[in-house]
Amino acid sequence: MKKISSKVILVIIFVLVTLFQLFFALSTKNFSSDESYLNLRLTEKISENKFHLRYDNLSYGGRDLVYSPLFYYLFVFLSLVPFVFKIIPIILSSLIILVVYLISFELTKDEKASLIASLMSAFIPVYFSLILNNFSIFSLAIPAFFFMLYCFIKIGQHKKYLEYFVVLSFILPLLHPIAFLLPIALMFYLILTTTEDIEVSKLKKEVLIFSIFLTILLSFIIYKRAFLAYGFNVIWQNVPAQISGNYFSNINILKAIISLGILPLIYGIVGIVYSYFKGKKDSFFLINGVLLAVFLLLVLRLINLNIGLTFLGIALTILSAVALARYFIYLRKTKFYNFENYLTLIIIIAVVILSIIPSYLTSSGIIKSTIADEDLSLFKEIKGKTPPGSTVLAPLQFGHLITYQAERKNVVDSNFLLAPNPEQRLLDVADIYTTQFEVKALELLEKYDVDYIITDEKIIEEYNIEEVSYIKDEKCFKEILPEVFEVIC
Amino acid sequence: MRSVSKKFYQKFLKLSVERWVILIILLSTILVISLPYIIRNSPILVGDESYYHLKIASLIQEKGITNFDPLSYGGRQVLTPLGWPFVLAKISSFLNISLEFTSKLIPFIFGILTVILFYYTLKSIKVEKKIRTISTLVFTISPIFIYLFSTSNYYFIPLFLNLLAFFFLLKDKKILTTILIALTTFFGIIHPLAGLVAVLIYTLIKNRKSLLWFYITLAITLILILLRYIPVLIKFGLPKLFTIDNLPIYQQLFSDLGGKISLSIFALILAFIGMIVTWKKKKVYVTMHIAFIILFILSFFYIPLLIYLNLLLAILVAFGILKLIQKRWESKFIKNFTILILSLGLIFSGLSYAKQTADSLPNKDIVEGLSLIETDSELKTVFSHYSNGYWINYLAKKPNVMDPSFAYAPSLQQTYEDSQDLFYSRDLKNSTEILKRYNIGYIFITPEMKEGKVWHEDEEGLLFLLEFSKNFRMVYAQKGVEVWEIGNLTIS
Repeated sequence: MKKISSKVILVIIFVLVTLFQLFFALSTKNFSSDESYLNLRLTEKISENKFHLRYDNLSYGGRDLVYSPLFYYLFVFLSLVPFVFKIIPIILSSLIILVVYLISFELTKDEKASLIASLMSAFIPVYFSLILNNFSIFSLAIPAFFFMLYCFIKIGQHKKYLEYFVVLSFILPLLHPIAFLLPIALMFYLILTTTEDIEVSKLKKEVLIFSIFLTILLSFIIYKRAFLAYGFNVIWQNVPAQISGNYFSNINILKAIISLGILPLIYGIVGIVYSYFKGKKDSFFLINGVLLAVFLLLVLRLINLNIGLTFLGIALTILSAVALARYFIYLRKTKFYNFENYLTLIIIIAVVILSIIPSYLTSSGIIKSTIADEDLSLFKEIKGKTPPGSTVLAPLQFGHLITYQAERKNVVDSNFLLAPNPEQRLLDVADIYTTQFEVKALELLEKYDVDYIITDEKIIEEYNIEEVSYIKDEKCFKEILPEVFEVIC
Repeated sequence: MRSVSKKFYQKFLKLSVERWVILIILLSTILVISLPYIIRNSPILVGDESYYHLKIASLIQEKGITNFDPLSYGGRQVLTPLGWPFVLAKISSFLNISLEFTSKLIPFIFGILTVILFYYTLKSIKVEKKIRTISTLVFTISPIFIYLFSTSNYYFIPLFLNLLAFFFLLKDKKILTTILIALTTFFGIIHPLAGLVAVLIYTLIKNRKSLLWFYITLAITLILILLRYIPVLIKFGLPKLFTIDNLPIYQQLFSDLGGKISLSIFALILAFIGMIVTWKKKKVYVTMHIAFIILFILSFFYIPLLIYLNLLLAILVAFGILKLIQKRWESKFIKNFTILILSLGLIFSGLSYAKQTADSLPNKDIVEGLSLIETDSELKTVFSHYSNGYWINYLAKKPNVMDPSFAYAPSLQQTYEDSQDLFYSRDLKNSTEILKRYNIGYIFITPEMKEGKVWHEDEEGLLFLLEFSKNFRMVYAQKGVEVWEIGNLTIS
């Protein structure tokens, strides 16, 4: 039987994973996260104004914006493609399969191990939770980040990799602040290779210096206003304590292991051990550098847990290839070499059971919790029933829906950088919904110039109340839509 | 004959190249100093410190050298150095030009002179031409340089005097050095000390025979310092430490993080590279290294020391840049990009600082609001955030309740507590008492005060009283700047 080339298998995996994601994403018209609507709005604003939004008059009732704008410009260009905001992010995020294959093959020179690693990378549950049915910058930033690592490994082999690396060094900081992870990872790489007495080529050191300085410069240029406002505290992105605390409070070890995928974790750890004690190749230490950098950022609570786990998951998947390659080499030396194909099949079945099924379940969960049509239509109705410029109150997770769908001002949303006093606002919003005292609620509603208040079932459930206690006072609140009240006093 | 003319030509060429370099440096200096004014596009002086100097200078013009400031904290002793206001007052009178224009002109001229002096000082200590050119350019685009010579401040004249003193020392004109260091005592205590330390280091390394001269200079300078400060210490004791809502120190050190007298982060990175480069010749550069490290550490405790650190920083940055240029890189492509990025980083810090300076307050609305108060012939106190205190004094010509001159301010703690009480209390009786106690006739509010500097909410504390009590009348409102006049204080 003719052997199928690894390239074909890789393409098959790529297509299957893309279809897998499309199956879920196209089953609903809506996106699964509130943040997707922010990204949609920022993209549409570029189409309208030919320049990215620097002052948002709806978010927090009006505030300055600082962000890396490249992703939005890119989608303005792509916006002619039908379903662009659904399909393109899926295709982009699936590119991680190719990148993981390339890095794994570079590390191991073993096609089979690299293909298994790329298959595992396609089904990291936490990666799915980050990008599935979301119009998210990470769908591009994560593959770009790992492709940069690949180029870094290949620098010195061909001039084109250096050029790719340089170009991506400019692009990544313009995509997302996660670009800062790269210089940190490269620093760890340098420390690890130095302590392990592994020679790093002069060219790589030069590229490393270049990359660090470029990232710092671009970050200072893009986030200048944020740096002036918060100093180095900008790395915490003004995320309120109650939110950054939540990143970590809902997680337990078992949940984290399932999110990462059991196989990448087990094989990845074996890969780490091998790379430290036997492998001693500088490229192994590059991936270990990423692991340490992510770990550091997680410990310092500088990145969202899901983002951190995604990077950890992909890095571990790459190191899994190292472990699998060693395993196959060892197997070929034993009497079981005839069973190699069977054992490979067992590994693939394990991938199906331990990665693909959890990813399927995660994906189903994501789609189930996607913003419902009724919720969206409520915001569209609000747009029709309220005057432009009015302020609508809803909890944090509805913030971007208010600005995107209803096109009205919100009190709070999840874009915290340069947002005015988000911590206090979160507390005040919770107070408005939960207080028993109408006077207090009215005082707070006046503080934020709230004209309309949404009191739907999800909000009631979130605050664990039976109803908003004072909302039936007809002197002050008039129901303009089901579960939407106008503040009239 | 031919070889003579060739030598002459080479010498001419060499000279003319240096002249071109100096010309470029001078042009960039003029551009950098003018930049905040070009961006600002307004004749209004920037910052608050400028207005303090204007106030003292106008007092000197009216009454001669004075020890009493009738407007700060409702009246207090002037214990700040009088050097710059005195120069400002005298030059303004002599040239018959306004104090405001003199405040811009003098730093501008001193900026150009300082740059030339810095270049020739480096030349005198035989610093390689490339290094001294790059150092001077780096010095020129540094945020501290922009601060020193684009605004009216305490520090630019003493920096120039100290540099000149050092230059004369290199030329072996010790008497002039002594005179110049002695002159710096009129500009604050730190400057003569900095000058003396520099002279001592040079004397110990290069000319130990001059130690006697150094002791004489030290004695003269110390006598002048003691004459100036001992009476203050006897009368008022040491100033009490009092700090309010300052930026964290690490943020104050860097212009990119909002510091005022501050360094560029990129310059510091390059200086670090420069230090590594010069480390190999540590016998030659050890003094510079030690001075740099000590000054850097001391800057954490006294930020203005950064103006002296900045000189050393510029030299180390030049070594860093030159090393990056001269070093053989594997990839010329990466080398050029890296140098470009670092140069852009230095320029970015300078430009960004110039923009910040240009955007600083006061603006037209503030000046108009305060000018309106000036028209009131009664000497009523104006209440506002302490950071607006100097503007109130100079632009409204009225006393303030508080200003940023905390050292030796009368009843500082009590005044601060009363101010806070007034800002945040909704109790009319309590507020009326405070208003009467300080003879407050006007309340001056800026948009920044309403956006978190004082209040976070629309009807918080005093804002509530202003809106609902009949005792207050808004007499000016423009783009968030408000002036409220206080009528007959009744509790209603």
